[in-house]
Amino acid sequence: MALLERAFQSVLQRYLDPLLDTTISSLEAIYQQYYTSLTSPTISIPLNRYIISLFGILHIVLRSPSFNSGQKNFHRKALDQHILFQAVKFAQLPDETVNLWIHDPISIVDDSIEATTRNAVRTAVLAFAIEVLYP
Amino acid sequence: MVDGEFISETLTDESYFSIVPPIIQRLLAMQSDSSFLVRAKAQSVFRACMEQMEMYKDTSAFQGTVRSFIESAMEPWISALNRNVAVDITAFSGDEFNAVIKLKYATYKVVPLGG
Repeated sequence: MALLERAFQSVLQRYLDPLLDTTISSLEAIYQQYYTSLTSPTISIPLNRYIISLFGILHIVLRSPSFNSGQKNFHRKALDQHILFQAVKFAQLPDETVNLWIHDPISIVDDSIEATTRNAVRTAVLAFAIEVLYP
Repeated sequence: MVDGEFISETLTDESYFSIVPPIIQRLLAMQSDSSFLVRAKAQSVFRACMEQMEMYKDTSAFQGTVRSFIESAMEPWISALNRNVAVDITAFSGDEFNAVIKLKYATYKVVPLGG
């Protein structure tokens, strides 16, 4: 898809701001619902997928060459802080998981499907943070 | 009729470029459809069309055609993708909520760097 990627990138430069705004606004809008889902006994796979998609789009926008300049102005630094804040919010664990890890540290290595699914958003957000915030 | 020709075994390199642009235009028009699922499926077809076009990009006969077509098609598509991302999911529930999720996921997947 190299051709499409190049064409996409050249046009994307003109849409960075609206895409950033809509993606971050969508993350802010859905956060309360996501937070509530952390205490739910059932995992909302569609909701998780939705949030992972938003971070995926955010990643694509931030990977754009114009976001990789070493000379960042005040606005860009503020944006970095805002994105970091979003990542921290969505990377949090449910209280029950934290309690479980405190009382049974070995449970951290639980790689069951249920645990993997429950932590899908957190895993995606951490991968996003590693690449975007600490390139 | 166009769809039928598109999947026909008689499709040739020459006819490909007369068939795909109208399809992509139609798919773009579908991004204004009131059904989120229709929009999501149209995005998947759009990506498939683009992937096929990738095969022609290095052929001398079609290099210029491919480049000019993709460059002209990208702008309205990114604008449409942005509108899809902007759909306020919190205003929906039930089946519509799930449909918006499919739309957003399809939007993410259709972006070339997101697949």
